Amino acid sequence: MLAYAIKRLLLAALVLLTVAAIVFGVTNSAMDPARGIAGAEALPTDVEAIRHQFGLDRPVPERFVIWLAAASVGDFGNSFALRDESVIGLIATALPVTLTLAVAALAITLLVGVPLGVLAALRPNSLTDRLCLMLAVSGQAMPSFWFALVLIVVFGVDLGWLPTSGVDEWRGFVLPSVALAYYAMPIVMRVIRGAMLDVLEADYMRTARAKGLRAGRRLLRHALRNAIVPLVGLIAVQFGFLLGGSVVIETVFALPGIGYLAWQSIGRGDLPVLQAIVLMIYAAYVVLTLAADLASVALDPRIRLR
Amino acid sequence: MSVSIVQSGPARRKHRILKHGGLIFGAFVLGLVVAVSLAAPLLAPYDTAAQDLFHRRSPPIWHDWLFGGHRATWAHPLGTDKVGRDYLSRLMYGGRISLLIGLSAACVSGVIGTTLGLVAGYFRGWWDMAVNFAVTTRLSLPVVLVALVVVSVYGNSLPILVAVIGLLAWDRFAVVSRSLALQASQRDYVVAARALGCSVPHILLREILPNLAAPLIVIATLEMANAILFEAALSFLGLGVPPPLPAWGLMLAEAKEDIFFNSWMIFQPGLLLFLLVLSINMLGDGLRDLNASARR
Amino acid sequence: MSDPLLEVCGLSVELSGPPPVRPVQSVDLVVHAGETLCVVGESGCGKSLTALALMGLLPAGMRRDATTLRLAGEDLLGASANRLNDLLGDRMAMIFQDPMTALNPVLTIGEQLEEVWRRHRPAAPKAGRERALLLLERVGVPAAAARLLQFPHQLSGGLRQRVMIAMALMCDPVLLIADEPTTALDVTIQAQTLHVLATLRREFGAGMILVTHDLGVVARIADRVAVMYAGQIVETAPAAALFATPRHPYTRGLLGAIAVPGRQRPRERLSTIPGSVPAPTDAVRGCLFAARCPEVQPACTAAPVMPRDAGAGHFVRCVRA
Repeated sequence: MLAYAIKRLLLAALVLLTVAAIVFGVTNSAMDPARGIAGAEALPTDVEAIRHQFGLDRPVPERFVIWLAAASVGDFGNSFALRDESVIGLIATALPVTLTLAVAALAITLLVGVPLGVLAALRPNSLTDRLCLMLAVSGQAMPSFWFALVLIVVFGVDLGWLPTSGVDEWRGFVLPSVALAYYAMPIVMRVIRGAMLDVLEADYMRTARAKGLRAGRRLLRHALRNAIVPLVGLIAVQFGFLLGGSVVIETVFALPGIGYLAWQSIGRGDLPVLQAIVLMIYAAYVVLTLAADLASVALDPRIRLR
Repeated sequence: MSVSIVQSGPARRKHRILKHGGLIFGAFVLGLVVAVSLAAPLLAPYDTAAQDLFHRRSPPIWHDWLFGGHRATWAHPLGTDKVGRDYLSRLMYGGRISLLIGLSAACVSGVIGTTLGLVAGYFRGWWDMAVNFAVTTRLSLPVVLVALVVVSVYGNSLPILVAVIGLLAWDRFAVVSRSLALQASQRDYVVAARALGCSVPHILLREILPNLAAPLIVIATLEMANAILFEAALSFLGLGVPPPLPAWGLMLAEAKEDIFFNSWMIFQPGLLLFLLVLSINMLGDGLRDLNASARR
Repeated sequence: MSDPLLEVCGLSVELSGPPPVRPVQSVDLVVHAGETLCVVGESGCGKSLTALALMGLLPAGMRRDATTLRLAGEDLLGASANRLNDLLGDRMAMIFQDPMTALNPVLTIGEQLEEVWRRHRPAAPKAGRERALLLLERVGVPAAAARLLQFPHQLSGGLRQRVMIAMALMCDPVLLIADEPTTALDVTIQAQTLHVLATLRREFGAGMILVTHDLGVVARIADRVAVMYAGQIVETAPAAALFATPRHPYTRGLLGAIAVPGRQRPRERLSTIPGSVPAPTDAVRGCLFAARCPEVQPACTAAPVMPRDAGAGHFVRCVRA
């Protein structure tokens, strides 16, 4: 058990280094933020001075090691674009927005996807099943940003029910969460449907009937309890995807989250912020997959960490 | 306890059509889009860059039908954008862009992924570990962010777009071809080929790869759909296809600016994107079902 | 002779769809309290379906039909769905063939045992745990208290089947139905499990229907035997009488095919019944066994054959009985 955990951590660290190196290498070798920092009217000598001050004249690998060393103790420095703001501060402000969005989207996904999947499995090949299938198929084909735009037009512009940008109130999260959820829901629904179909045919369901257990209890305690096991890993992956893919939705709805921050950083050549964000998203991914594994073990007693 | 139910001839044919309805629908719609896109030079009434400033922001005919008003004109049946470019023509040519990028990116990722997977599955050992590591790394990358970074750094020409999308989407190819190659390399026909002294490239390409063709085609269709969505998202953010090319994602970005007074603009490009991706997905699903039933 | 515990008349199972197929036809069974009736037959003869039909657990697409179906005097055919559901697990309980798949892998043994009790004895929910412990000890599961917290995959096959037996006995049912309870177990465990089953059945005073394809099991445990062929009961008799004087040619063929040390000479072939069982979809006139019967007569294929009383509780579905 301990050996397994160590092996996983080592692998995660190795992947982290690779990911960081890729992103660092790509951004630093071609972007030149010195010009942006110095300003439009700076003289070439000023730009050179800035470059030296920020260590941008050193070779890329050396800069990578320096940055990595600082990052490992939590020092990410200050933003290039907003020089008084620390990178960590900027991320800390933006993170709650993205987290709220991702959690809300995940909640919608589960609250809609799981019951629909169960319903579809209970009545296979019925009208309900086909409707759910159509919902799933259309969700997977829908460009999320187009769906977001449609939602804005229908609910924001024409009906005026919901705000279309900003996060001044909780209602500003409704449309973005729905837009995000619509893309993740189909796969959840399909997985639950497939898992339930398998489970409902299992012998232990017949045993439950033979014991006289009522339908509701059989469904929840016996069937669903087995069917959600494959869902746990999926949820972790989807959550990570929601975190990393929120760029588009945040830009459409002008939500000041991590995705929007990353988007702005790319535009401004704000490398420290960008690098820190990539690192953070990866760390979240590692934590999520680990949590998913632990949850799987908790849910299915047959799984034991090797 | 199995008792087979015998169906009459016509009932069986109807059953089979219904079962493959998705496949037929997908193939039909996709074929339509491809045909119109290819024939765009013949069918498009206007040049995609031609600006008809007199008819700027003219709504499409269906908009007048639904909501009343007389602003639409048959000269531009699907409306015009903010500088008067004809939507019908731009949408037709836009199909070319989506299809081109989707297909090319799927090919690039297919070649990369299949090669990696074949190597990992056939040689195993260190090769397998290396490819596994590559796949894990790829899965850990925040794909959209990386694509945005690369495009903003290296410029957004079509070849770069195809390369970026292709380099970020090969993982499913690799995983599937790896497991299939693993299985295949233990089959007798591969062992026999090795015993006969066939060279490794021969074994990989002529013995193993043909057996992977069917599932890989299914994956290719689904990855093509993903690539199209990906490119549209990048274009929408302004870091995809460069304007003034008539990419559907770009049109949506422009439409967003007019969303409060000309909200109709967002519907057409998005709907086409949706239908195209939908048809490819249904085609892919249908092919996958065909595969599964053929193997049974 | 006391009133029968279970009375079944004309039970059949119908598979819908053109044309309707009957894998079980016109089955008559009677079980008395304290008695073990074995339903024996080869694979595919419909014996498991009969057991499921009695419990009302047929899979979708199959329907049960009967003239009479009475448990302890209560008519099951006219009973409401709720009443039938109340009876399952309480008055009649089933033990299934494969204990690995019949137990839910994500719930503990204790949860699966206690939930039967809580369903049918909601007034005294806490007593379920003691009852579960008691039964686990009675079926011979060591360290019962620890077992309650374990999961099915942590137990061996034999232990799991004992848990199934305990589970069936939780609410003290009057009728036990066991569908090939030892088939999925190692040969060495089979005898032990049968012994536990027989002992407890006697102790709790329940009646039992045991479905099996193994005549050895029948010899060991049966009070009465019903032989099934192609969906019909062809012979019913007290166990001793069946083995001593089998009256149906199929039963005789079955008994004759058993390899007994000393019965056959070395290298002599075992006797077999030529031909094969008719499929449920085949339309056969008259006796279903006629095509393979060594004693067939023209009367056999003229009309469907009804069971005949051969005296002393011995019934045979044969023209020649």
